[in-house]
Parts: sequence; C-alpha cells; structure tokens
Amino acid sequence: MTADLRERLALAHDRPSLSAAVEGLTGHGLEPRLADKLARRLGELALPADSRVLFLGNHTLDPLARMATAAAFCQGVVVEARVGPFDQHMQMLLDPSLGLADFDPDVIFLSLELDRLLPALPAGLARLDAAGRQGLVDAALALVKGWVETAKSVTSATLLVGNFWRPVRPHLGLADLKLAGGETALHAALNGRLLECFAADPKVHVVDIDQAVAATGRRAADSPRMRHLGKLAWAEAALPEIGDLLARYLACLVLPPKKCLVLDLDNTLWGGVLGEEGPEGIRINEGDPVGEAFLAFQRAIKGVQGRGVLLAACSKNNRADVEEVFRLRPEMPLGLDDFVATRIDWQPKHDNIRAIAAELEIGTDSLVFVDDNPAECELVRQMLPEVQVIHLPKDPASYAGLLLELPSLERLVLSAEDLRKTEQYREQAARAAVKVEAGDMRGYLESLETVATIWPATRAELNRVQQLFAKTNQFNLTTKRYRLADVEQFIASPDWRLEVVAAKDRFGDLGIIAAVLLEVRADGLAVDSIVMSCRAMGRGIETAIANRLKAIARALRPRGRLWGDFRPTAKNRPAADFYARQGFTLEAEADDGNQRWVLPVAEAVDVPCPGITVDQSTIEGVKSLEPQAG
Amino acid sequence: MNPKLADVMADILEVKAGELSRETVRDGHPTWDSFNHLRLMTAIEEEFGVQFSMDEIESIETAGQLDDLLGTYLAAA
Repeated sequence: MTADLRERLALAHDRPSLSAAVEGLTGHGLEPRLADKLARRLGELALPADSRVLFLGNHTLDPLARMATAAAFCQGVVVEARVGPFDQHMQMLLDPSLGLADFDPDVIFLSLELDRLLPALPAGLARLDAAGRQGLVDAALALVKGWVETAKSVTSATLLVGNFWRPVRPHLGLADLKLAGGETALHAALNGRLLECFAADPKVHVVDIDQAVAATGRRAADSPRMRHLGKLAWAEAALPEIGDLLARYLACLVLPPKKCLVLDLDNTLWGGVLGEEGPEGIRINEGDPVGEAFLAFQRAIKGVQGRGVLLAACSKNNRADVEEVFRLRPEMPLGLDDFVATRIDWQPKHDNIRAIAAELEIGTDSLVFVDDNPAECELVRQMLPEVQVIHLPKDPASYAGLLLELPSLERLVLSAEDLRKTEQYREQAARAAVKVEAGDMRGYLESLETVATIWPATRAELNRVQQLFAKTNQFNLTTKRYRLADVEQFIASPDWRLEVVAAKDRFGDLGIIAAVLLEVRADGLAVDSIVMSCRAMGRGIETAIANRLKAIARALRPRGRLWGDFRPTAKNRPAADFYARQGFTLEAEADDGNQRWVLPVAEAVDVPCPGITVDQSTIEGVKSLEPQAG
Repeated sequence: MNPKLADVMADILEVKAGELSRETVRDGHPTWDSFNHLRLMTAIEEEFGVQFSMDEIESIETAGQLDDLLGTYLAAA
C-alpha cells in the first residue's frame, strides 16, 4: 500500500473526499490490505449505508466482508457489512436472538465450502455407485435450497448464493475424469443444478465464486495453512476477485444502470484515421494483430449491446466517409444500424453527447463515453461530469477486456425488454418518420395502431416493474424508487393493487411500458405511483391507464374517491398535467410543490384516447372483482 | 526487538514502530486480530526467509515471544 494513498484515506472526512481518494481503483485490482483500511475508514466515518449486507457461511468471512465493502465503495456503493456467526447460517435465520431483524439486511450472501458441508464426499466418491454419487449432489443441493426457502420466509433481502469452487486437484487425480460422476463432474453438476434451481427466481442470484477463484488462479487462491489456522476458505490472493464480483451485484442492486454506450470511431472502433487511411486502409481485419484487437473490441461492444445497452456513435469525421466504411467493410461485427443515434460531424463532442441523450430521451447521467483521445475525454469530463468517461489506453488488445469489466454496464438479469432494446429504438425511429409524414397528431396516433393491454401484476412481471420504478424519470408521478422486496409486497398484499401495461403497435412490440400502484383504502383508492417508459409517452396511453383506474374504482369503491399525488422533480414535467387532464381537481398543494388531487368515483368519466385499442378482455376482468362497500 | 521485525509488525498492524515493544500483547490489541496475525506471520516468513510451524503460529501471544522465535530461526540459519 502506498503511503500516499494511506494518508489520503486517513484524511478523507466525508463521502466525496473518500470517493476522490479511491478514484481509479478497480475492485479486482484492490489490494486486500488497502481494502481493509478503506473498509475501516468507511466504518469510522459511519456514512449512511446504501446497502446492508449480511455475510453467512461455514468458513471465516470477515476478510471478504471488508474486501467487498471496499470494492463496492470503489463502484459507488456504501455498504454496511455484518458477518454472521461461523457456520450458523441456518440459526441466523431462525434464532431471533442472533439479530437478523435488527440488522434488517438488504442482501444476504451465503458461502458454503463443500468440504465442510459434505466432509465424506471427495474421499468416498470412488466407492459409491452412480446413484450414491447422485445422492450427494442432491444432498448438497437440498441444503442450499432449504436455506434459501427459509431465508425467503423470514426476510425480504436479495439472496446471493455462492457456488462451489473446485480444488487445485481432485482427490482421485487424473483418474477422477474417467469416473462418471467423479469429483470434477460432481462439481460441474452441482453448480449447473444450482443455476437451474434459481434461474427464474428474481430474488436469488447464484454468484460464480468458482469463476472468481479460477480468475485468481486455483493454486494462488488455495492456502491450506490459512484454512487450518483461520478457517479461511481462500488465500488472501483470491479476495480481490471475489470481492469485486460481489460488489458488482451490490452496485447493480443499488445504482441506476447506464443505458447507452457512446463511442468514438477512429482508433476506437477501428485502427487508424478514416479520413487519412481511407475505408480500405483502416485496421479491422483478421491476419493483422491490431485489426484483430479491434475486431475483438467490436464483438465485445456487440455483447454489451446484447445486455440491452444502447449504442451511439459520436465522432469527428465526414458522415459520408463513415457510411462508406460500414458499406465497404462488412466484415466488421458492428453495422451502422447498430447505433440508435449518431453524431458524426465536427461539432464539439459534449454538445453532440447532449444531443444524443436528448434524442434518445435519456439523461446524460446514464451515458458511458468511450474515446482514445485524452483531450476529448477531458473536455467531456469537464463539461458533462455526470457522464462516465472511459479513456482507452494505448494498447487496443486491452479494449475488449476493459469494456467487459465495466461494472456500470452490468445487468443482474435481462428482461425481454432489454433483449429487444435496440430493435425498439429502431422502431421508434420508424415511428418518428411516420410522424413527419402524417403531419397531424391525430392521424399519426391512429396510424400507429397502438394496442394497450393492462392486467394485475404477477411475480412474472416483478423484475420489469422494479426496473420501471428504478429507471423512469419523466412520466413518473411521485418518483418513488421501490425495491424488489417492496414490489413483491405490493403484489402479495390486499391493501395494494399493482397493474402493468404492455403496448404494441404496427411497428413492433414495446413490451411492458408502465406500472400503476394503487393503495386500496376503505373510502377509496389512492394512486401511489404511475410510471411509464419514455418510449410510450405522447400517444395517450396514460389516458387509457386513467380509464382503467376509474373502472377499478367503480368496481371496488363505487361510492368512494380516487386520490392522486404528484411530486414535482427536475425531470417529471411530462407528467405534471396528468390529473388535470383526467378530470381530477387539485385538493391541496404543499410548499414543496407536492400536490394532492381528488376525484369522486361517481363523477369519474372516461376520457377518450383516440388511436389506442385497449385490450377489452382485461378491462372486463375488473368486473369479476368482488365489490365492497365504498 | 529486532528492528526489521518491528518494521514489518508496524506495517501490517498499521501502527508506528515506536508504539511496539516486546511487551505488546496480541489479546485485545485493536489491529492484531486473528486474520492480521496470519498476515503478519506470512509477511515475516517472506521477509526473513523462514517458515514457522502451525503450532508456533498459534502459540504467539506477545511481540516478545515472536522476537524470540524469530531469533532462534535466524541463529540456526
């Protein structure tokens, strides 16, 4: 640890100064002793925690808890970590005196060492038949599943379950690989079954500890002396990789995701300067080491796009040259149509980046900008400090890895919407083209042939609904950022009614684009939240939603009232006139601008929404609700 | 106390070398916890090119005992 960094940590007295002290440190490059120091400093400063994390397992987890706390801070998350008593992961859930409820964790990480879980396993394998070996896999799996089920019944925390890591060598040596269901095969089967088990569960994530141990190097990650003396599962050398992996999960759970990767072209997407080398001269081809490095980078970009991250191009070139290069070099993994927005001209990059954000209707704070030119990077950093700027280093061989390592582009799970994101923006561009053709608004809306489907949310929509609460800024009446656990509670509770809205039109499927949260009260319904994705705005779907609210109110509380809150933010002006348009009257307005609107259910009249077909079968579904005295 | 040993201890335990003496006790020390103890022993092994047994690692309770143990290894080398 450098004395300089040590001193900066000691001097840091608040969150910004501590963040500045660790700037540029990456999780897996974080030295364990420095991580300890950082975790300790975080504890001393007692910063308010973004996430409370409980570490449970059958080995010593304190060093990892410190490592993960430090790595998470480097990714922008303040963690309050607690380590449960050794080998009492089940007791911790069931014995209230151990303090689970007091700590009230947002996340619980479970790490089980297979040797300690099934001590007879490795040595006994050779003597077992296939059924016996299968029995061992089942037994280990049952232990984990039992813990998960119990955890879900006593806490709403997100569960991170570590998988099982392989030893340096199997006990049966080379022969292990000839044994059907040997130690090697058994590890693979067990980890495969773990993934299957929790694949559909939005609250449980299997953490690939085996991968982190392999990335460290199995030999370096293994310290028998540490295991016997300190019940430590791994050597200190493995902590940076494992800590970084955990921090990625914590960051994904807490931070708003980056939505768009804005890329420079020359010496970023290909080697060389297009204006000088010409379309045949730039380096993006097999057989040339530099060209292959750029090919690998483009493939990595394509991979990131597959996570639902949008791509945009921002470069100083002649646009015609760029169009030509994409035409003449079809061997490039990326095509021009992979970019949902392009600014290829000679305007300053920060202006162009702002324009790209405006075009895509997303905030500049959800952009990552990548450029090889230090001056451009510095300019963007100064003009748009909220943009994450990645300055590419000298060696293009490092670009692909660098991109794939970026925590801010991680997603915990890909929703159907994420998988179709780029397509959806292309469809949006096609819609905009029609808008220009159609001229009048009414004609345009009708030409879209929008169909909205509204139904009560189920667990299947859990992730998407939480995503909408987390990401929607513009059409968001109250900007309450609900967590997965909250959404789960709304679905389960009779006091709440959560509805989701999907939309499609003649250009394509927009997927689930809105969520509506109602509080069911004795004397009426209160609109807690309405969130609608920006790509569905401006076509009157909010009116279809309001009509649905009125229908629900008529069914549940015919003599009651509908209330609605509006909390103004810097970004939600598009939703400001929602209640007025739907016939509500302003009941009260506080000094901070928060408004309360009201509408007696008996006076609620549907507002027409031209051009939108509402899926009637689901509206009728309301009638089957049991009417209650309102 | 071996001055090089004091330096290694100060580094790992995050204290000033002057704050350490042969009388420094592990039990109750704010930074000489069980994990840092393992770190410390590993660092000493690397620094002086010696290897302690697991029993020796477990038996150390004071800086003086550590100084004596290291002394016997260095004398035998």
